Amino acid sequence: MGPSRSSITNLQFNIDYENKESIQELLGDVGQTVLDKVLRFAEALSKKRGWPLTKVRLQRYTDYELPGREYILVIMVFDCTFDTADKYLHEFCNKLDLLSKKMSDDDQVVLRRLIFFDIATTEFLKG
Amino acid sequence: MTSQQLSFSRVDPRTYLDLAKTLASQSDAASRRSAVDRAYYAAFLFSRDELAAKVYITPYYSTEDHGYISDNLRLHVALDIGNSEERLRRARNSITYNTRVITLDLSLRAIIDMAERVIQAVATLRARNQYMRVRCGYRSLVSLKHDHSNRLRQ
Repeated sequence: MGPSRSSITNLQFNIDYENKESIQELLGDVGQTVLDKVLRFAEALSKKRGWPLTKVRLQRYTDYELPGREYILVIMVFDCTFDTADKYLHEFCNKLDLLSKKMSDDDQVVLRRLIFFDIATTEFLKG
Repeated sequence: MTSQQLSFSRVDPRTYLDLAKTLASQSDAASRRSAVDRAYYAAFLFSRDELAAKVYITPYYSTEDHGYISDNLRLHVALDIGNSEERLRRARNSITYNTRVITLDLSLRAIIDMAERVIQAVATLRARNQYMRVRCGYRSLVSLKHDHSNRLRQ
């Protein structure tokens, strides 16, 4: 395991992996580095904006209708209403879009094709 | 012996969103589930046809277009728009193939809002100029489609 893989764990919010090995396998080393950048950006933005981001869940998503289409789903868990969390997600994606312009071409391709985002609320997860 | 024909007139995919709104206002499970399906297809089909008409993509006109459109929305429109289209797809996949009780952290209003946002963003996207396509865009388009096909085959 290289340094890029272990660094993902050094974040201020918890990360729940749904099958960590499978996620790492799909991402590869370049993908791990990109995911690390994305999560650090999420951490910095949520801190700056005071977002109630409590944890992040990572899943390997397979679209069963489309053989071969798989990606990592980053589910940001917020302690607020769905509508507010939804606004945070749109803002996060728009800011990440700007950041991605500064990434290398390879990193941009990985971000565009292998990493998708969604939200959940703590209230929903409790229920 | 009389022959029968089944024909459909041309459809504007945005009218699927109107239908989704009508279905979402009903209380029965079949209507509410179908509302999610129609909202996704409104966003997906409108995006596919507009991106093609504006010379950003050459569709496959098959199931391969689902991932292809999502990737291209992220590339040519905005990361947030491609992400929203994919959120719609996941919701649609969950609901269409499962007849059991399903609980999603989403609302029908949010799903319809997402579809509207995707459609609006794609509608206001400027057409790619043909000269630019030949000069610098066509190779990357071909490459993206080629890579996409390879990834699906893996």
